[in-house]
Amino acid sequence: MIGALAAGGLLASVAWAAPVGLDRVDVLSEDPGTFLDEHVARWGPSPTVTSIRFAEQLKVVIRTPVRHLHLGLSAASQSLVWEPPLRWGLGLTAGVQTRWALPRGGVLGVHYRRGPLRFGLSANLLSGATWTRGDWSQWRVLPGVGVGFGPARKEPAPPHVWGDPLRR
Amino acid sequence: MGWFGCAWVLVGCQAGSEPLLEAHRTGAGYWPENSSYGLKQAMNEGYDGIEVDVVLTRDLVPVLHHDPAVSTEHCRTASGGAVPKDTLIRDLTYEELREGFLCGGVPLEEFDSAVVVAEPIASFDEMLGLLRDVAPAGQLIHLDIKQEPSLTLPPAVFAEAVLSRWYDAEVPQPMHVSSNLPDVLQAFREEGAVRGQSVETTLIWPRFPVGASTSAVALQREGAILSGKEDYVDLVTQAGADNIAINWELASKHLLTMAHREGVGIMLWTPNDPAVMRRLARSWPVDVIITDYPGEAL
Repeated sequence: MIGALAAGGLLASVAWAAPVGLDRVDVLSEDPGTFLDEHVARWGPSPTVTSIRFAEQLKVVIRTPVRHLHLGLSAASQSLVWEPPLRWGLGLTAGVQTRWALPRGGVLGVHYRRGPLRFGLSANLLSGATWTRGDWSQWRVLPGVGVGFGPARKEPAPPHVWGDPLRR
Repeated sequence: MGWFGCAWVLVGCQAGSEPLLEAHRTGAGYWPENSSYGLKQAMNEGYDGIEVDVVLTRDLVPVLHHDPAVSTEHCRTASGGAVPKDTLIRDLTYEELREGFLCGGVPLEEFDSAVVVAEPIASFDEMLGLLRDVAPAGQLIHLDIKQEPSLTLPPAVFAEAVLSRWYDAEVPQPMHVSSNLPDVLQAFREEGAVRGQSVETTLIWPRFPVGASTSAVALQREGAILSGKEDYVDLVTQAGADNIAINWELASKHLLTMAHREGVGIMLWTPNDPAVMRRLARSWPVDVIITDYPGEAL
């Protein structure tokens, strides 16, 4: 379903090509969702390994030519996420996540964007698929919280499908 | 194997039940590791399980020791001197080992409140005697086989020496065998089959070869798991094992959950902080926690 949403978003927005570039850096990534679930609590007793796991989830998010479609790249997860704005700074988050190009789950949620800050809340649907064991029969749902920073930008308004009202 | 199934055939683990606590190296936080003293205490305390390390002497006598060489940290010569580096146990007879060295009499910074008792290295036969006379019948015995290519005798020799003694002794306790080498587990299963027994085996992950940098090994394995090139279920399947025992700091809860659902028994080593043990027991899919402090309540 999430894949279909992302594909739908891609088709709906393909006409509004956007410039490619850095959207933001997530210091806390929503996907894959394992950092909050299992690593945060280990920071005290196991600081070195947890710091490595923290570094693994730091994510660079790049705007693709397809409007609102973002490519997120971290060592822990690589995702293709559609993030259309709704209103009041809120937006939708829907996409697929991979483990080094192997599809292994999806992410669905909402985000809030104001200036350079992006804050996201989502649910990660995560399988146990790995390159050695392509098994998508087992799934878990993990909560995702994202905190990212990027260059503040003003979204260009989408063109009206019935034309520019001022020219009527 | 079903949803939340478990391969823990000897103990019969169940999802949601409290994990068993195994005394790591007989309970190294309380008394000398792999010692006769430690064995007696751990048996008297009635811990769920006891983990011991097994190495083979030149005359094929299994003894309880962690390394292929006599430990320079834990042991001294019988005359009180330092143990020469690289004194391999496979080069010594049992008598030479027993007469020549005392272990456990050296205070350790890591376990500063542990009892200090100097004893000869304990033999496997001593342990079997204690299992008959002292240990509760249901106490799980975990034999961690310290076979190390080029430093010890071959896996099949270990398997024959250990299992012949174990089954001849007819002790009532359940037992499982672990190693970080699939070949060793295979040798024990084959030797068990020869004796008409099914030997439960546990793969230890990751493998830290003797002398290798633990940080480098940990980073390599982290990369393999991260990229999806290694997977716990696949590792266990390749090794033909029933269970996997994983370093708790390196473990991925997500992959452990998937493995547990596939029926793999899960063991974590070696959390020693009671708060960590409680957290793992509550929210991780774990059947056995191997700890130096098995007396801590979960």
